[in-house]
Amino acid sequence: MKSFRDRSFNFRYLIVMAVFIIVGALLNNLRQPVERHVAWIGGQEILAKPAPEAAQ
Amino acid sequence: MSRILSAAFLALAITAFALGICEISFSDTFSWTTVLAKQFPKLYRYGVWIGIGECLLSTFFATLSWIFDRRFARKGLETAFRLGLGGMFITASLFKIHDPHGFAVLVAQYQFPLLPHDFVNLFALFMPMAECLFGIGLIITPYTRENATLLFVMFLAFIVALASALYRDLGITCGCFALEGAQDKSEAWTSLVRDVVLLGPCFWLTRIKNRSLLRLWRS
Repeated sequence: MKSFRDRSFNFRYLIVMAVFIIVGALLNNLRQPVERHVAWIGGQEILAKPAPEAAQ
Repeated sequence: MSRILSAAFLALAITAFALGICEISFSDTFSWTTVLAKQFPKLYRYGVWIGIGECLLSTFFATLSWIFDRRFARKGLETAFRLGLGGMFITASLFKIHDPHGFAVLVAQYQFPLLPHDFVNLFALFMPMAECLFGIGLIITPYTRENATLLFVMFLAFIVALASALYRDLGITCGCFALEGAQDKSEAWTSLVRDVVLLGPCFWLTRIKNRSLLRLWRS
Protein backbone atom coordinates (compact mmCIF):
# COMPACT_ATOMS: atom_id res chain seq x y z
CA MET A 1 0.00 0.00 0.00
CA LYS A 2 2.86 2.33 0.85
CA SER A 3 4.52 1.79 -2.49
CA PHE A 4 1.21 2.53 -4.22
CA ARG A 5 0.96 5.76 -2.27
CA ASP A 6 4.54 6.62 -3.21
CA ARG A 7 3.73 6.21 -6.89
CA SER A 8 0.40 8.04 -6.69
CA PHE A 9 -0.33 11.09 -8.71
CA ASN A 10 -0.71 14.48 -7.05
CA PHE A 11 -3.86 15.79 -8.71
CA ARG A 12 -3.96 18.81 -6.44
CA TYR A 13 -0.70 20.01 -8.01
CA LEU A 14 -2.14 19.52 -11.49
CA ILE A 15 -5.27 21.52 -10.59
CA VAL A 16 -3.11 24.38 -9.26
CA MET A 17 -1.03 24.28 -12.46
CA ALA A 18 -4.21 24.26 -14.58
CA VAL A 19 -5.43 27.39 -12.78
CA PHE A 20 -2.06 29.11 -13.38
CA ILE A 21 -2.14 28.08 -17.05
CA ILE A 22 -5.68 29.42 -17.58
CA VAL A 23 -5.01 32.71 -15.79
CA GLY A 24 -1.61 33.11 -17.48
CA ALA A 25 -3.00 32.42 -20.94
CA LEU A 26 -5.91 34.84 -20.49
CA LEU A 27 -3.71 37.63 -19.13
CA ASN A 28 -1.14 37.03 -21.88
CA ASN A 29 -3.77 37.46 -24.59
CA LEU A 30 -5.21 40.57 -22.92
CA ARG A 31 -1.81 42.31 -22.74
CA GLN A 32 -0.97 41.65 -26.40
CA PRO A 33 -1.10 44.49 -28.97
CA VAL A 34 -3.79 44.21 -31.64
CA GLU A 35 -1.55 42.55 -34.26
CA ARG A 36 -0.59 39.71 -31.91
CA HIS A 37 -3.94 39.36 -30.13
CA VAL A 38 -6.23 36.45 -31.05
CA ALA A 39 -10.01 36.10 -30.73
CA TRP A 40 -10.98 33.79 -27.87
CA ILE A 41 -13.03 31.50 -30.08
CA GLY A 42 -11.97 30.96 -33.66
CA GLY A 43 -9.14 29.84 -35.90
CA GLN A 44 -6.74 31.15 -38.50
CA GLU A 45 -6.80 30.82 -42.24
CA ILE A 46 -4.90 28.06 -43.99
CA LEU A 47 -2.04 29.53 -46.03
CA ALA A 48 -1.64 28.45 -49.61
CA LYS A 49 0.68 25.49 -50.05
CA PRO A 50 3.89 26.52 -51.83
CA ALA A 51 4.52 25.20 -55.31
CA PRO A 52 6.81 22.12 -55.37
CA GLU A 53 9.66 23.95 -57.13
CA ALA A 54 9.50 26.82 -54.61
CA ALA A 55 9.61 24.37 -51.76
CA GLN A 56 12.86 22.80 -52.89
CA MET B 1 37.74 6.32 -7.87
CA SER B 2 34.57 4.70 -9.15
CA ARG B 3 32.67 7.94 -8.56
CA ILE B 4 35.21 9.89 -10.63
CA LEU B 5 34.90 7.40 -13.48
CA SER B 6 31.12 7.49 -13.17
CA ALA B 7 31.16 11.29 -13.30
CA ALA B 8 33.46 11.27 -16.33
CA PHE B 9 31.25 8.86 -18.27
CA LEU B 10 28.17 10.76 -17.19
CA ALA B 11 29.67 13.99 -18.54
CA LEU B 12 30.43 12.22 -21.82
CA ALA B 13 26.88 10.82 -21.94
CA ILE B 14 25.26 14.21 -21.33
CA THR B 15 27.54 15.90 -23.88
CA ALA B 16 26.86 13.25 -26.53
CA PHE B 17 23.11 13.41 -25.92
CA ALA B 18 23.03 17.22 -26.09
CA LEU B 19 25.11 17.19 -29.28
CA GLY B 20 22.84 14.53 -30.76
CA ILE B 21 19.68 16.51 -30.04
CA CYS B 22 21.31 19.67 -31.45
CA GLU B 23 22.41 17.74 -34.53
CA ILE B 24 18.85 16.51 -35.10
CA SER B 25 17.04 19.75 -34.22
CA PHE B 26 19.26 22.64 -35.25
CA SER B 27 21.20 21.26 -38.16
CA ASP B 28 21.20 24.71 -39.83
CA THR B 29 22.80 26.51 -36.86
CA PHE B 30 24.88 23.78 -35.27
CA SER B 31 25.93 20.38 -36.48
CA TRP B 32 28.97 18.30 -37.30
CA THR B 33 27.73 18.27 -40.87
CA THR B 34 28.30 22.02 -41.20
CA VAL B 35 31.63 21.86 -39.36
CA LEU B 36 32.84 19.08 -41.65
CA ALA B 37 31.12 20.37 -44.79
CA LYS B 38 34.42 21.12 -46.59
CA GLN B 39 35.89 17.66 -46.07
CA PHE B 40 32.61 15.77 -46.56
CA PRO B 41 30.25 17.82 -48.76
CA LYS B 42 27.48 15.21 -48.74
CA LEU B 43 27.53 14.66 -44.99
CA TYR B 44 24.48 16.89 -44.45
CA ARG B 45 22.28 14.09 -45.79
CA TYR B 46 23.11 12.01 -42.75
CA GLY B 47 22.65 14.70 -40.08
CA VAL B 48 19.68 12.98 -38.43
CA TRP B 49 21.48 9.63 -38.44
CA ILE B 50 24.59 11.20 -36.90
CA GLY B 51 22.35 12.72 -34.21
CA ILE B 52 20.70 9.36 -33.50
CA GLY B 53 24.16 7.77 -33.36
CA GLU B 54 25.29 10.35 -30.80
CA CYS B 55 22.21 9.63 -28.69
CA LEU B 56 22.93 5.89 -28.83
CA LEU B 57 26.55 6.60 -27.89
CA SER B 58 25.29 8.61 -24.92
CA THR B 59 23.29 5.59 -23.68
CA PHE B 60 26.52 3.56 -23.85
CA PHE B 61 28.37 6.15 -21.75
CA ALA B 62 25.42 6.40 -19.35
CA THR B 63 25.48 2.61 -18.92
CA LEU B 64 29.19 2.75 -18.08
CA SER B 65 28.55 5.53 -15.60
CA TRP B 66 25.73 3.44 -14.11
CA ILE B 67 28.04 0.45 -13.73
CA PHE B 68 30.71 2.43 -11.86
CA ASP B 69 28.40 4.25 -9.44
CA ARG B 70 24.71 3.54 -9.83
CA ARG B 71 23.51 6.05 -7.26
CA PHE B 72 25.59 8.92 -8.60
CA ALA B 73 24.64 8.13 -12.20
CA ARG B 74 20.96 8.14 -11.33
CA LYS B 75 21.26 11.51 -9.61
CA GLY B 76 23.26 12.97 -12.48
CA LEU B 77 20.90 11.70 -15.15
CA GLU B 78 17.84 12.92 -13.28
CA THR B 79 19.38 16.36 -12.87
CA ALA B 80 20.48 16.56 -16.51
CA PHE B 81 17.13 15.41 -17.88
CA ARG B 82 15.12 17.69 -15.62
CA LEU B 83 17.24 20.74 -16.44
CA GLY B 84 17.48 19.83 -20.14
CA LEU B 85 13.84 18.97 -20.78
CA GLY B 86 12.57 21.77 -18.56
CA GLY B 87 14.87 24.30 -20.20
CA MET B 88 13.90 23.07 -23.66
CA PHE B 89 10.19 23.46 -22.97
CA ILE B 90 10.67 26.92 -21.43
CA THR B 91 12.75 28.04 -24.44
CA ALA B 92 10.24 26.59 -26.89
CA SER B 93 7.32 28.33 -25.17
CA LEU B 94 8.69 31.86 -24.92
CA PHE B 95 8.27 32.92 -28.55
CA LYS B 96 4.81 31.34 -28.68
CA ILE B 97 3.72 33.25 -25.56
CA HIS B 98 5.19 36.42 -27.08
CA ASP B 99 3.14 36.03 -30.30
CA PRO B 100 -0.12 34.09 -29.85
CA HIS B 101 -1.39 35.14 -33.29
CA GLY B 102 1.69 33.84 -35.09
CA PHE B 103 1.50 30.56 -33.22
CA ALA B 104 -2.23 30.23 -33.93
CA VAL B 105 -1.49 30.65 -37.66
CA LEU B 106 1.11 27.90 -37.38
CA VAL B 107 -1.24 25.57 -35.48
CA ALA B 108 -3.95 26.13 -38.08
CA GLN B 109 -1.61 24.89 -40.82
CA TYR B 110 -1.57 21.45 -39.20
CA GLN B 111 -5.32 21.11 -40.03
CA PHE B 112 -5.38 18.50 -37.30
CA PRO B 113 -8.67 16.56 -37.41
CA LEU B 114 -8.91 16.27 -33.60
CA LEU B 115 -8.59 20.04 -33.11
CA PRO B 116 -11.73 21.85 -34.37
CA HIS B 117 -11.05 25.08 -36.25
CA ASP B 118 -12.79 27.23 -33.62
CA PHE B 119 -10.49 25.96 -30.87
CA VAL B 120 -7.23 26.75 -32.66
CA ASN B 121 -6.86 30.16 -30.99
CA LEU B 122 -7.59 28.79 -27.52
CA PHE B 123 -5.09 25.98 -28.09
CA ALA B 124 -2.48 28.52 -29.22
CA LEU B 125 -3.05 30.45 -25.98
CA PHE B 126 -3.03 27.56 -23.50
CA MET B 127 -0.45 25.20 -24.98
CA PRO B 128 2.63 27.52 -24.70
CA MET B 129 1.65 28.52 -21.17
CA ALA B 130 1.40 24.83 -20.23
CA GLU B 131 4.80 24.16 -21.82
CA CYS B 132 6.38 27.02 -19.89
CA LEU B 133 4.84 26.23 -16.50
CA PHE B 134 5.43 22.48 -16.66
CA GLY B 135 9.01 23.17 -17.82
CA ILE B 136 9.55 25.44 -14.81
CA GLY B 137 7.78 22.91 -12.60
CA LEU B 138 10.07 20.11 -13.73
CA ILE B 139 13.11 22.13 -12.66
CA ILE B 140 12.04 23.81 -9.45
CA THR B 141 9.24 21.74 -7.90
CA PRO B 142 9.54 18.29 -6.31
CA TYR B 143 6.62 16.98 -8.45
CA THR B 144 8.81 15.34 -11.06
CA ARG B 145 6.38 12.55 -11.95
CA GLU B 146 3.41 14.87 -12.48
CA ASN B 147 5.39 17.34 -14.62
CA ALA B 148 7.13 14.62 -16.61
CA THR B 149 3.83 12.82 -17.27
CA LEU B 150 2.28 15.97 -18.66
CA LEU B 151 5.37 16.66 -20.80
CA PHE B 152 5.27 13.03 -21.97
CA VAL B 153 1.64 13.49 -23.06
CA MET B 154 2.66 16.69 -24.88
CA PHE B 155 5.45 14.81 -26.69
CA LEU B 156 2.93 12.14 -27.74
CA ALA B 157 0.56 14.85 -29.00
CA PHE B 158 3.41 16.49 -30.96
CA ILE B 159 4.38 13.15 -32.46
CA VAL B 160 0.80 12.38 -33.54
CA ALA B 161 0.36 15.89 -35.00
CA LEU B 162 3.68 15.78 -36.87
CA ALA B 163 3.06 12.25 -38.14
CA SER B 164 -0.39 13.29 -39.29
CA ALA B 165 1.04 16.34 -41.13
CA LEU B 166 3.72 14.22 -42.76
CA TYR B 167 1.21 11.55 -43.77
CA ARG B 168 -1.00 14.17 -45.43
CA ASP B 169 2.07 15.80 -47.03
CA LEU B 170 1.18 19.25 -45.71
CA GLY B 171 4.76 20.46 -46.11
CA ILE B 172 4.70 22.53 -42.93
CA THR B 173 7.48 23.19 -40.49
CA CYS B 174 7.31 22.00 -36.89
CA GLY B 175 7.05 25.43 -35.24
CA CYS B 176 8.66 24.04 -32.13
CA PHE B 177 11.37 26.68 -31.73
CA ALA B 178 10.46 29.36 -34.30
CA LEU B 179 7.34 30.78 -35.87
CA GLU B 180 8.93 31.67 -39.18
CA GLY B 181 8.16 29.62 -42.21
CA ALA B 182 4.77 28.14 -41.41
CA GLN B 183 4.71 27.18 -45.06
CA ASP B 184 8.37 26.33 -45.50
CA LYS B 185 9.35 22.91 -46.72
CA SER B 186 9.14 20.51 -43.86
CA GLU B 187 11.60 20.01 -41.07
CA ALA B 188 8.86 17.90 -39.58
CA TRP B 189 10.81 14.66 -40.01
CA THR B 190 13.71 15.85 -37.88
CA SER B 191 11.31 17.21 -35.26
CA LEU B 192 9.50 13.88 -35.21
CA VAL B 193 12.77 11.99 -34.69
CA ARG B 194 13.81 14.40 -31.92
CA ASP B 195 10.48 14.01 -30.11
CA VAL B 196 10.70 10.21 -30.33
CA VAL B 197 14.25 10.31 -28.92
CA LEU B 198 13.18 12.61 -26.06
CA LEU B 199 10.25 10.36 -25.16
CA GLY B 200 12.76 7.99 -23.55
CA PRO B 201 14.17 10.34 -20.86
CA CYS B 202 10.73 11.85 -20.33
CA PHE B 203 9.23 8.41 -19.69
CA TRP B 204 12.06 7.59 -17.28
CA LEU B 205 11.27 10.77 -15.32
CA THR B 206 7.64 9.66 -14.97
CA ARG B 207 8.82 6.57 -13.06
CA ILE B 208 11.13 8.12 -10.47
CA LYS B 209 10.60 9.35 -6.95
CA ASN B 210 9.25 12.84 -6.42
CA ARG B 211 11.80 15.19 -4.86
CA SER B 212 13.39 18.54 -5.55
CA LEU B 213 16.83 18.75 -7.13
CA LEU B 214 18.28 20.15 -3.88
CA ARG B 215 16.89 17.25 -1.88
CA LEU B 216 18.08 14.81 -4.52
CA TRP B 217 21.72 15.88 -3.98
CA ARG B 218 21.39 16.17 -0.21
CA SER B 219 20.16 12.60 0.15
